[in-house]
Amino acid sequence: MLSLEGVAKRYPNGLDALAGIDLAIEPGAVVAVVGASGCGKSTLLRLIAGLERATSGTVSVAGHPVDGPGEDVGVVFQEPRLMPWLTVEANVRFGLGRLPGAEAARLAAEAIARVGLAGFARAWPRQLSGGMAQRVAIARALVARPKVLLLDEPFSALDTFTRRDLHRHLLEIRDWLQPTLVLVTHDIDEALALADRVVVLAGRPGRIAADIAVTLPRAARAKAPELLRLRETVLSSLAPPRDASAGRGADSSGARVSAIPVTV
Amino acid sequence: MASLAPDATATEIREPRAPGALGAVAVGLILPVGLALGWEVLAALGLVSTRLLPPPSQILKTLGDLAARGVLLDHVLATLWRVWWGFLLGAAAGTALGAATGVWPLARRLLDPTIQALRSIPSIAWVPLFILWFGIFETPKVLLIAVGVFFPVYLTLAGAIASVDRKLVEVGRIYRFGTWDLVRRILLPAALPTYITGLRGGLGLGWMFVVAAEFMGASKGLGYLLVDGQMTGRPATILASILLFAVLGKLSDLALAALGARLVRWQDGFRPERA
Repeated sequence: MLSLEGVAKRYPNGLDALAGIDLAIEPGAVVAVVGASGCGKSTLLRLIAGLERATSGTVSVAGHPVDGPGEDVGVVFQEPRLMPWLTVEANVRFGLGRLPGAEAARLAAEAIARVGLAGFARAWPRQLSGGMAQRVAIARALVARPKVLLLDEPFSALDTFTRRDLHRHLLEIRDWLQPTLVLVTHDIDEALALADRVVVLAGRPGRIAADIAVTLPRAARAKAPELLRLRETVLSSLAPPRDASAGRGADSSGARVSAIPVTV
Repeated sequence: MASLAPDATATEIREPRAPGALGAVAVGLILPVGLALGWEVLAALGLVSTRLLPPPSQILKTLGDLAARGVLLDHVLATLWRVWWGFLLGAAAGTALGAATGVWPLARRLLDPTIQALRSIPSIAWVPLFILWFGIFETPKVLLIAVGVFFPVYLTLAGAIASVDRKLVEVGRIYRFGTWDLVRRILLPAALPTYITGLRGGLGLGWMFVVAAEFMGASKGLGYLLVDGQMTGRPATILASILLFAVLGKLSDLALAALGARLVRWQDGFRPERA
C-alpha cells in the first residue's frame, strides 16, 4: 500500500531530516513510527502525505508516486486544526470536497457517530475538550474513507485517560474501514499497544534503526510479559550506538529487522 | 461556556444568553447623563456662561427648533447619505485590494508599497484636487470619505490574511484546495474578526472625514450646521450638531458591531464573567 525506496529529505536550510529510508507497508497494517524528537518522524509522515517532496528516492501510495496531497490519504495532525468558524459537522464535511449535500451529510453523520460524538454535530470547536476536538479531527480525516490514515503524534497533548479512550476509537476505526494506519509517536507504550509493527527511527538524519513485529493479540498486550521484552528492544535501538561509525555501518547495510513472534 | 455532559443528547449546545443588554445600556448612560445634569445645574446657578456654553436644555431646544422647521432631518439625511456611500465605496475598495495583497505575494509586492506611500499623505490634502476634478457637489465629498475609510480596511484585511494560522492553511492543502477555495473557505473566515475591527475603524474615520468634506462647502448636512453655528455665533447649534455626530456615530458603530458579532459567533475570545 505504501512504499518508500531510498528516500532522503534535505530541507532548503540544509538540514538533513531523513536518509536512506526503505519501507514497505502492506494494506491494512498498523505501523507505529517511534523516535526521539528531531529524528525526522514527522518528516516521514509529511512525505507520505504529499506535504513535502523527497529530495531523492520515491514515495508511493497504492502504487502511484506521491506528487502532492492525494485523496487516498487522510491526515490527523498533532493539534486538531479544526476551523473555529465551523460546527463539528461542517468541520467533518470539510474533508468531502464537492460531494452532493445529502450524501455528504450522511457520511459526516456516520463518521461523527464512529468517534462517539453523535450528540455534538452542531457544537462549535471552542465548546469541545481536547480529546473531543481530536476525535472530530479523526472523523474529518476518515470521512472520505481514505485507504491510508496518517497520524502525527495525535494523542501527545492528551491526558492518559483520554488517550486510552482515543486508542479504543482508533482500533474501532481500523476494524470498520480497515485503512492502512501509520502512527507517528514518541510514546513507546502507545506504539506497542496499537501497532502490529514498530519502526524505530534514530540519528540525524533519521534512518530506520529497527523494524519490530508485534504479533501479540491486542487484547492480551496490557499484561503480557513479552511486551516488556519488546519495550527493551525498542529502547535499545533508540539509544545512540556507542561507536558512531559502527552504528552507521549497520544502518547503511539496511534496516535491522528483529521479529519476535509471541504466542499466547 | 456551556457544560458538556457526556450524556448530552441535545443536538444543539445552548449558550447562555448575553447578560442583560438593557442593563449594560443603562450603565453606559450613567456618565453622559450625569455630566449633562451637572452642567445644567451649574448653568442654572449661573456658575458658567450660558452665552458661550449653552446648557443641555438649550441644545435640546435648538434641536427641537430645527426639527420644527423641518430642516433637521434634511441635514441628518444628507450627512448619512454621504457617510453611507463613502463607507461603501472605501470599504469595497479596501476589501478587494486588501484581499488581493493578502493572498497573492505578487500583488503584495506590486501594490503594497504604493498604497503605503499614498497612506502617508494626509487625506485632507486631496480636497483641492478632488474639487478641481469633480466640482463642489457630492462626488468629491463621497470620495474623500471613501479615501478615509479605505486605508484602515485595506491594512487590517491584508494583515489579517497574512497572519492566518499556517496550520489551518495546511489542512486546505491536504484537501487539495485551489486558491479560490483557500480564500473562501479558510483565509477569509479566519481573517473575519480582525476584518470587522478594520471596518469599524474605517467607519469611524468615515464620520471624521464627512465633517471635513462638509466644511469644503455644503448647503446641507451636520458639518454645514457646524459652520453655520460658527458664522452666526450660535454655540447651541454647534453643540447640537456635535451631539448628533456622537449619537449617529455611536449608533452606526453599534449596528456594524452587532452585525459583526453575528458573523463571528464561533469566536473563542475573552468573555469576562459578569460582576
